[in-house]
Amino acid sequence: MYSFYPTYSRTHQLLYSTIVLLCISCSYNSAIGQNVLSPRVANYAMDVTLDVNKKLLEGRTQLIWQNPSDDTIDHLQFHLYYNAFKNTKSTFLKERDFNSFLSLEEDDECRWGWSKMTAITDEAGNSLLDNSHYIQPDDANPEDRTVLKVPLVKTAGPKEKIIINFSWTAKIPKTMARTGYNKEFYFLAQWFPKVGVYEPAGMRYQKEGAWNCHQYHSSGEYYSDFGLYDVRITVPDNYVVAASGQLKGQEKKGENKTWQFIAEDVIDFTWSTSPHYEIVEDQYKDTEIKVYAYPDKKHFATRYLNTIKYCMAYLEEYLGVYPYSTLSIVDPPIHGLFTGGMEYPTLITALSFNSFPAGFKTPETLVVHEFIHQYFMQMVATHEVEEPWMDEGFTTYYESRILDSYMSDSTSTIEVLGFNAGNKEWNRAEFFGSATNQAHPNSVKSWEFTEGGYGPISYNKTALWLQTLEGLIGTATMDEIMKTYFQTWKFNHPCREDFIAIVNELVIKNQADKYPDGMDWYFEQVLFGTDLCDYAVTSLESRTKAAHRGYLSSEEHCEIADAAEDFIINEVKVCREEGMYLPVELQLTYEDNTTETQYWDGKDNCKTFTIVGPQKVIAAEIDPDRKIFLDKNFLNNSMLLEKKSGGIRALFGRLITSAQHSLELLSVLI
Amino acid sequence: MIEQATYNKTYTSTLQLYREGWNCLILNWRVLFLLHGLSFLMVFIALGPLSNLLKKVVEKTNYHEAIAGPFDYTLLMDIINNHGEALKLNLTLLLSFVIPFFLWLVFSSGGMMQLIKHYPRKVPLTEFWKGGAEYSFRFLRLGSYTLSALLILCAAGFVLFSAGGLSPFELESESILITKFWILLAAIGLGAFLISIFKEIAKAKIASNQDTLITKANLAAAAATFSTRAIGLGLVNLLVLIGCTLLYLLIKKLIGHWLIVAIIIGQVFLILRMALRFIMQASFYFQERANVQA
Repeated sequence: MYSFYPTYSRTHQLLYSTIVLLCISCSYNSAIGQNVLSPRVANYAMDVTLDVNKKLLEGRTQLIWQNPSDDTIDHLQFHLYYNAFKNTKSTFLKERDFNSFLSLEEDDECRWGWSKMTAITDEAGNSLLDNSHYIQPDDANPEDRTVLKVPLVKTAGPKEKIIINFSWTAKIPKTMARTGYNKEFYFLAQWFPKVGVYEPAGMRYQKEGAWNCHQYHSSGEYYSDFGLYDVRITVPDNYVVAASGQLKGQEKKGENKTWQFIAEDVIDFTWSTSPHYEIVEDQYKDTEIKVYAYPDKKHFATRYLNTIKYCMAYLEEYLGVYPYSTLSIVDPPIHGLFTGGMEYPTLITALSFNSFPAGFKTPETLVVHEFIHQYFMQMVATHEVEEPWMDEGFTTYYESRILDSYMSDSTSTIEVLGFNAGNKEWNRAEFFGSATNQAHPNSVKSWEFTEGGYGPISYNKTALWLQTLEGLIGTATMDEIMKTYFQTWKFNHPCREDFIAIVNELVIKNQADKYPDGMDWYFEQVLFGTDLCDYAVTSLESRTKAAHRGYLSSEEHCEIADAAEDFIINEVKVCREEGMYLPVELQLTYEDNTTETQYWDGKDNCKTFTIVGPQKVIAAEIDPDRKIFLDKNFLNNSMLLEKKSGGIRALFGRLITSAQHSLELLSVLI
Repeated sequence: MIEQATYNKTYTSTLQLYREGWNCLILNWRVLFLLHGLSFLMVFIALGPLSNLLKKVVEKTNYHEAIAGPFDYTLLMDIINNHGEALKLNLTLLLSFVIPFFLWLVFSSGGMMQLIKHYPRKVPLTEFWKGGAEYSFRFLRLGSYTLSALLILCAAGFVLFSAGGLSPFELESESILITKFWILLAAIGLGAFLISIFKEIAKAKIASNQDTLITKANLAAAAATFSTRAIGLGLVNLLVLIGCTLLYLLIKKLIGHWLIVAIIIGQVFLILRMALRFIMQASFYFQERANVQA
């Protein structure tokens, strides 16, 4: 067993390299032809040691990288994410208001982090380090060192596998965005030099092959190739390690212990360690679920596990099987707050607060959200940086579906002291309550949300328009779309065009009568536009037309026709109050409580429906089944012929009583 | 002019004092209608525009019933998100009534004191207005001291709570903060309870001594606050209030969504709270009167 310490001789290092190479090659090759789920482009064998005193990671990596294209590649690009935390000049911290993000008070310890390659060699032993240099493909910020370009001595030919060995050191930052240490808690995400994605011509938007390796941006997340990770982690003996993949073994060495994990067909590898973790285990079919929590938070495990098992069953039914043998849920302690609520392959982080009433469903919401990411961004590995809506939005959409069905659509987010809200309605209110909900279209890249709105637009808006799409085309077609999309693109890197193509194909197949040309018109508005949607019933009038009178049957006598000939003219005016147009249904209710539905393509600014008949229309309502969840104001969706003040009077009575009781509280002062 | 009652009576227990407070209330029951009526009127005026706004928004829509039904988050947020500005204006108006209402409470406290002083003689309600005018300024000053004391108490609580830092990143576990929070909340509750005893004794002393300056009365009240009888009387008052509140909450829970019944029960409880306020003031005054006579 090898460990990385500089005192080791060159011979030992070479020996180690050979062993690692053999190991990873064996697992890589043996996996091929067995149950290989993904194109294993980037495969890592890593040995890393955590120095808890210096907060350092010393690592050695052997990367087996396969050129996925027919191009000849003359260099590699690596992410060195920890350099985002090197100083305030990094692109990450320039984009984020670090004054509000970090306390500027001096810490006893330096909170900053960095990452650097100390040696890079190819299979032939050529050193690649000297010619490597940092690049800034997105913003030309010379101070940003999150992307390293490594020219190859021997180029990688079409589909050729190459082996790169590198040693690296990383100073762990005190918990910043998603990663770091605090006290004895360590969460290591984006912790190792990670190769970017080479996109061949025809993949996503590429016309010709090119590296896709963005700098680390404050809003965006990640994008990586699938691969196999064989990782040996050495930590102090009393530390417990939670990690992506399956634990293959532990080996005690003096005061340290090495944990070996193997994760197959994943796009990343993340781990966490602390001497305080306690583990609660459960099982869903063939998947072993482990909750890692500090002792005072262990009681949340039951909530996590029950929710996750429901979630796994739900997604299995509607999308497909979760194919991994493990799932780890890390509940960080309060001082590890910044690492909560994140998703990594087969490892997710939750967030809980002791003594919060059980009616706050944050723990359930987070584990469901992060677990759905196993499908959207882990298996269907979209580009989180360039198209954040494709993972966050899809996840938020399923989060609502799952939580509202697991609990109820009016209590799945909060149910405390008579105040309750469901997940779907919570997300809708969040979007419409945001001042930046029209700042950008959904289609912009994560770092292009310069006017804000990353959260409301990527998460909430996408969920809203997916819910509305479901309303328009029906749940059955929507489920077919999502399942087809998942099954078609799992273990691949789709882009929006791939999703739109599936939507159009299935909508035309299932709903040709309603949408013969597919849904491009819809995506143009919701994805590429910033308009909001609001339909309103603006007037409802009903008048009786007087019966015919005059010289009707002869010219001798004036007469009035029989009352039976009288009829009623009802006029309902509906208007589009915002820019977005959608087909809408208008439900009319007559005096005898029968109803009738009228349809409007919703394109004009207003339309008046005139209904002539023997009955008055006493109520008109747009979208009575709430199919259009994108409608920003449900209050104006309906109109009654006559005012009904009973409810308001009752509310007024209640408000008066409450206000009187509140004011009476002032009597404590006198 | 109606003479103040000379009433020699000794009380052997706090319950006797409390019962005497009830008797005084029964004798002056009409004051409750005055207190409630004014409270209702002020709130009615304050909430009028809000009611009109909501009427305009929902009374001709399918939400006309839901607005008074069980809590509906979507309905609430659509009102906030689409009529936020108007709502804000209305709530500001409502909040602006806090100061006049507080002044009314000060005035009515003086009025009640005048009625209490005449017990067991029944006096016309005009005495209430007279008492209000007579004691308002002194009670207002007392109110400012009470407010200051409560603010100092809360500030001290916050300082103690935040001692050692509030940053979650420096905490080993949030349980420490939570435990600290509950301990301090209990301590603040105890402090507020003592302040309320002090306030009642001070009012009684101000009314008894008839001094223009209230410093002497306040100092004497501060010393008397910690007497067994004062604390006992305060506890009796507090326990009855807690008992009534629990009963109200239980009834409210049992009646569920019967809104009209809930409103009526709410109003009854409000009147009860006003009555208990009167009784507390009366019982402490009777204690003071007994002390003076002794």
